[in-house]
Amino acid sequence: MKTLNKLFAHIEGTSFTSSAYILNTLASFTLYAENSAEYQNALESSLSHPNESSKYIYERIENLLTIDDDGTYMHPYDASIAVYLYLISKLSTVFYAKKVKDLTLPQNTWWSKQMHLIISSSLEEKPEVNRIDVKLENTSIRHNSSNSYNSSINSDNSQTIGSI
Amino acid sequence: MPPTYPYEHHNFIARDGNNFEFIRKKVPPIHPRLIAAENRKYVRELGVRVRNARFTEEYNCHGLTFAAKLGWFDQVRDMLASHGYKKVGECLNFDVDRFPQGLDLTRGDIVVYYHQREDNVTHTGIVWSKRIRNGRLELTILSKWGNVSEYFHRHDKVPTGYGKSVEIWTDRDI
Repeated sequence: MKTLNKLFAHIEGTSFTSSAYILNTLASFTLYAENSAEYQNALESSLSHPNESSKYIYERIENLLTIDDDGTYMHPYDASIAVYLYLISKLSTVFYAKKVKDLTLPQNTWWSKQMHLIISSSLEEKPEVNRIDVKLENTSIRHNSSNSYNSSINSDNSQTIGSI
Repeated sequence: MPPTYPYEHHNFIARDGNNFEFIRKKVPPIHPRLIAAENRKYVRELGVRVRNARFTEEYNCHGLTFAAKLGWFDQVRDMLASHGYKKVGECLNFDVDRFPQGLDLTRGDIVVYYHQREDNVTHTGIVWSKRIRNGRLELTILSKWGNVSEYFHRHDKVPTGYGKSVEIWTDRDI
């Protein structure tokens, strides 16, 4: 869990969280998170024990959500939580479906709420997929009457989901 | 538990009648202290000038560039076409000197930034002014940086995540 602890320190630091403020789309956000060495190391080292790592990361999310915060302003760890959700989705969709899917995020979150919605929606559509390859393209938001995101299956069987 | 949506969908009609969706976030703003810290950071590191630090979460760069700060847009390529814009210059690596000789840029033209691929538009802004400095063309751009403020900035003084590829579009007859 050493690499995960390093990831936590980086992702929860002001340099990362403040840099997320200037991003315009979820695709840019995800690219930004993925480009950090700490994220790549954490993902690589966690793949050998995905469930244990996912549990550790999820506990971190729960910890951050208990931070005393009256909701007047954006949650200070909104971006961090979004990265952790994305990482869990890369490690184990089974864990995500069982333990994370019903996570309730506070109203003063944005990135994490969008990430959670997109991952949860894709799990509903393809629950048998072992790992979600969430491609967050710069496509427009489509929100139909059944409250589900537009998504399409690409030729390589990855799934593109409408993003913001 | 059904998902809750922290935003509202709205529609915007472009010049050619095409309909574009945009969103209005229903979330609180970032703490003003953090916004102020970001402003100080970008002034120090990138030499920006803050134009407006209010309503930071209500609209993104495309909302400023195309739609009177109505909300968060993302269909940049489609909106350029629907509003009748033409691309008049493109460069990689911020080298706007590569624009065609005698290209008449003026306030109100649009700048589009993309990262690695043309379909990965990361940022847009409005050309505010231009000057020649040390023999090189410099553009001053007005743009909104995500959830942070509106800045006047040099065309090549942007966060690294915005990329270095720059296009100029205009709706003028040139």
